[in-house]
Amino acid sequence: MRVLVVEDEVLVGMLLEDMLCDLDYEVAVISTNLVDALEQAASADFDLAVLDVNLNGQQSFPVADVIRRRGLPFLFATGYGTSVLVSPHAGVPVVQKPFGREELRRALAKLTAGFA
Amino acid sequence: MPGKGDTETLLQTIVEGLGQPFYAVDRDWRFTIFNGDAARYFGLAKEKVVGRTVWDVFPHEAHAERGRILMDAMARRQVVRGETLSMIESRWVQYCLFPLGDGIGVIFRDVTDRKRAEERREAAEEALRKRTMELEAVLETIPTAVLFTYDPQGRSVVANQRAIELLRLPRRTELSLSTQLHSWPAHRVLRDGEPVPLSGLPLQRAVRGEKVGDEVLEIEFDDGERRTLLVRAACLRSAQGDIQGAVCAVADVTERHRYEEHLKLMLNELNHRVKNTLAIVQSLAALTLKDIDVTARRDFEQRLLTLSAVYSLLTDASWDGAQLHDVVHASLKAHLAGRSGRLLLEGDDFRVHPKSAIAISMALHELGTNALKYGALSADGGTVAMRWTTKDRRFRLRWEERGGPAVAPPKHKGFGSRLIERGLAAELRGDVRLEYRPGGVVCSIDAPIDIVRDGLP
Repeated sequence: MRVLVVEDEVLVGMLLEDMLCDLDYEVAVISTNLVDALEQAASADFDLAVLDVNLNGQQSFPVADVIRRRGLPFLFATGYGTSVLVSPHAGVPVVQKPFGREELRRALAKLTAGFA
Repeated sequence: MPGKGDTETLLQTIVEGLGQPFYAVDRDWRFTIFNGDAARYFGLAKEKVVGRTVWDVFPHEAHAERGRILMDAMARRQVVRGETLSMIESRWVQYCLFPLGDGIGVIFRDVTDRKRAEERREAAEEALRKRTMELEAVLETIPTAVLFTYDPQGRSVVANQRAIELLRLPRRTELSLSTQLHSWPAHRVLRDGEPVPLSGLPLQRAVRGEKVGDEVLEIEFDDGERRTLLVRAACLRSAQGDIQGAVCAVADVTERHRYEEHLKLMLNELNHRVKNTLAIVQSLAALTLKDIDVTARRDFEQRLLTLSAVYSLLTDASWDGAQLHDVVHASLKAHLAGRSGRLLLEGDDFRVHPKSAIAISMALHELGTNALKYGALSADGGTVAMRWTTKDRRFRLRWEERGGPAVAPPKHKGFGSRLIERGLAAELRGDVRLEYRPGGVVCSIDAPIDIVRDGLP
């Protein structure tokens, strides 16, 4: 499974990459800003995505919209509560930062359950 | 024609039949007539009065107002009517004095009851006038808009000055005014963003008998200005209990609301930054310790994640405290994943102070980690019972493990046990005992409930 990671904090992105590798996922791309993330979301080759909500003060919802249109699953990773999510993303799984590998595994498993 | 004797009898009959006190005096002020009603009124027998002078019978009267009235009537020889205080203390009389022979006749009646009723009415009117004045002064001074209606549809309202300003009602010069609500300038009243019809406004609901308490509404005017309003309303009832109208008080809480929203936003932002920083610290530690010390890395990460989970709980409650049950579950979430049936929780839930929440959470996390590595949660069928009480102003918690492998005290105390025994005891100003009993670890906490609830003074 190839994962698109959108995370503006480089260190957190690196940890996420390690965790994903440990969980036998392959990181397709790590994107650290909204413009690049929008491009990657539209064209990169991936099966699912992990999106940080706040990208240098900008919300990543437009990226989520693009991924949704491609029919691909994604989850949000955020330090904000779930209250930050607005329609149509209100039901999207969220992992609260900081999160452990187990938590990430469970969230990803939920996401890919329909694709198994 | 009646004879002289008949005339006397006739006069006597009239005098006694008047039904009112009556007396007559001659030009020398001697009583000539003193009827039965007069005798009863003054409490003096006719025989003791007739033939004596007024000033002899009533020695104080010569110098009183009544003496002056009598002398005046005697001198002017005209009919004089009026009211005065009676010779009997604190009674009022209405009198009529008239020339009679060479003297005067006096007929009077007691009007004290009417007079008192009048005084009472005047006092009541004065009190009411004062109350009205006070109420109007209050209504025009308070920074709260007040609306009244005495109309069952609540269309015709009376409003104070603040209401005229706040709700932009048509301005008039009078202190209060009546206005038709439908002639109001264009505006919309919203509840949670949804328009509220006239019939759904607090005053209109109150006039139907509903009590409206602290409802938050928004008013939006055509120029786009929005104000947030805190509204209360209640109906006005007659003594018989029928609804006669309603009153509605409206406070402008726009600034407070904005401030609260701003604070909430700030707190949310701060929490986000704390979480982000914790995530960076987690990444730094994980990447630094990668391939060096897997256990240390995992222990550190778990402690950090537990701390972060309790921070979330506290942020959700604006750092006001957290429910103990929530703290327990957040602290042992990782340990109990897939083993939730193995923790027995017994104790009434209550709100604990933020610092206590963090201290308890850190200690529980260490107990959980130990149980998972070496204790009851490391073996099949092992259980942990956690019971607490809040009696006698003490918080007493007991963590008791059972069914795990045989326990032996550790050779040296690690960071975990130091965190439990010293950290928690210091934070809660209580006693913490950690015992490595052969049957399982037992940890008991005994601390003042006030500190657990409200923090250190």
